[in-house]
Amino acid sequence: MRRARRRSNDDEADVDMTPMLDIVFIMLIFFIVTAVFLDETAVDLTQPPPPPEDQPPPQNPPPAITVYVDNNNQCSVDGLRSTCGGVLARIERQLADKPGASVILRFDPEAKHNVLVQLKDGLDGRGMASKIEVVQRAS
Amino acid sequence: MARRSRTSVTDEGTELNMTPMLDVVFILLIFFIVTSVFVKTPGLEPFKPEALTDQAWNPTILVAVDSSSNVWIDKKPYKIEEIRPILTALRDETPKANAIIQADRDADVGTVMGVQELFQDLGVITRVGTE
Repeated sequence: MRRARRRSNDDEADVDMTPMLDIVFIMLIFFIVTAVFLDETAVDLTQPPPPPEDQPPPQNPPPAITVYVDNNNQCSVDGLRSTCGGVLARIERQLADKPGASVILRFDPEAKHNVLVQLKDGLDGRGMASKIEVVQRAS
Repeated sequence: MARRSRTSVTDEGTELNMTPMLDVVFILLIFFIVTSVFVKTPGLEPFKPEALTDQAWNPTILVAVDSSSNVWIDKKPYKIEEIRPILTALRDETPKANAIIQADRDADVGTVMGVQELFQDLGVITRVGTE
């Protein structure tokens, strides 16, 4: 009984909150200053894992249109030189000959990243599936 | 004169009710603690390619590739051959992390895709940053 009375006295006594407030403000300022607000946009360039080795390749693989970009950022579609901006139009023309063909984007490791993103973005925007390969000095 | 000084004395004497302000301050504090992600920024902002099909992405691991194909992690440049242990350490710090590769337009495809391959080997979901 007496204890309860004492506790209620304690509650009424004014606690000096100033030091706690100082700490809270310092923490608040610290978190405001260190907060990093990321606003990133990104494209997915990840490739599906290769099929297991022991599995035989499909008997009738679908036809493919190969785009090659060499180390000087020269683009070619199925071996024919093309401007990199004209690759998409050329692929569309090729698709008329090879319906249902898949697109393989083959890059020299020294080709520029921008070309890859432009081509992949253009193909994704048209709903065409494509596969990215990085090859060393392939023809 | 006398009246003015007396009012100011009474103003100082009255205690300000700080409870609402404290509530707000605490809510702010908790908000910033909860939202704070301690991201190690790469230390440079590359001139990234533009894309129409890009999507918002919330990464916790940031890696940048500059135009001379140096890989920047936590404000230090590396060559691609030496980043595997660093990426492994970053992955172990935050096992559920997503990564972003912020590559310059002029970066080599080989480097960007090489970093991405490393991330895929480590089981980190990776996207490539765009403007």
